[in-house]
Amino acid sequence: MDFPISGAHLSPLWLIAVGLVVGVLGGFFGVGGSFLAGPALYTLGLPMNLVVGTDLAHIMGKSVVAARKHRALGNVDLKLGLLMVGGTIAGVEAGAQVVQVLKRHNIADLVLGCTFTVILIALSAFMTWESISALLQRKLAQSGQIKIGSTVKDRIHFTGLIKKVRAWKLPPYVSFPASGISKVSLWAVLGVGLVGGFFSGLLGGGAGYIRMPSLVYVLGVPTHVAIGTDLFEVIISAGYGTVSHALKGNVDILIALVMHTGAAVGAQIGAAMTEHFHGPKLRLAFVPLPVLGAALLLYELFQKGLVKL
Amino acid sequence: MTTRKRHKRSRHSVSWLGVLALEVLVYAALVTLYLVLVLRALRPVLLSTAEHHRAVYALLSVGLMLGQGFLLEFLTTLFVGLFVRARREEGLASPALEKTLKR
Repeated sequence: MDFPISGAHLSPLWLIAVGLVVGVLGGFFGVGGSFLAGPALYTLGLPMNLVVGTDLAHIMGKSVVAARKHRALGNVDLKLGLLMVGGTIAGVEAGAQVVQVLKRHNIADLVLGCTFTVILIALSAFMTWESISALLQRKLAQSGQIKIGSTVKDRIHFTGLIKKVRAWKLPPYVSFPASGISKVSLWAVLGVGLVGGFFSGLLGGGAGYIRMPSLVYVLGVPTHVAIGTDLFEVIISAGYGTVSHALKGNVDILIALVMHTGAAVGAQIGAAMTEHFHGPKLRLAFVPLPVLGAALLLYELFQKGLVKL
Repeated sequence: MTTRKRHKRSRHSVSWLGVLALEVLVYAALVTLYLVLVLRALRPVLLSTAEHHRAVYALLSVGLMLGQGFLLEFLTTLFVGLFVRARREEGLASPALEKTLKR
């Protein structure tokens, strides 16, 4: 099929299949899926600038579907999502500025690739340890060997950071009843948005792989709500990115729409599947995603000869 | 787990899968129709704006992606709701279908 906006000739079935896989992952884990869709589009022969812009447009559309589905399931904290927007937008801009500085020094690919790989592997290792510990604790609690205070189903093992953040004496304070947070500094919420946005601007995509765990481990948001709220945030950051890239001629909306045919259906399936998984199991299932992203990145770095053994 | 409990669980999961399959089928049909309509009706407009009016093209891009999300989700909910109501009137609505209607 010909796509005259980009001048590309791509198989629509392949685009729909990629969209479907990314859609299921996005709906289930609350991520944009750029770390999979990006390399897939690049492999098909689309230039990198069009890969980034078109992927953002497709991510935005898919996130709308998944976020609406999660909202119907009661998994979106709209107040938290809206308050994070300020931090997210500022973060996206800051990340994009850092990319410009790195580009001027001709070290963008190497620095960004290595940073991203280290972050993704560290994140996976941490989440594996935390979710397995939480599952073990849950098992012990269910057999009556230990007593745990919080909800047994969505147990978080790593709560030190949550307690510290909630104890911050930095007004103004906000509460998020939908996430079970009675009082937290607004600056902590903006900070989580800023970090997520920064990685979105720095490395492209929606940066759900950073924001979703941050919501769980920094603010103490239940996993299901973190996924739904993160998708809401991805709509904002990917929407902002789509407009910015479309103005620069980096978006082929026809490719995005074809991909979206599969992604929208996949997002429906993924979001519905979250109803049948609980906190630690959901977080443990998330672990292979950053590892896969890191592997793809390492492969690209080796291919380009930026990293040598 | 007793056989009765296991049987109850499998019956429940079948009805949940049935509802999901229904939603996915309706959504897949609508999103395909939307794609065909956009490709047929808006292709020349999108091509022209992408070349000559980038700001309009950017807005159209966001509008098309957001539009399908909200419009198709609304239509899917509407059609599935109509189906569930029809099943309820016939006295055939399962708990999973009732839950879908409540959403």
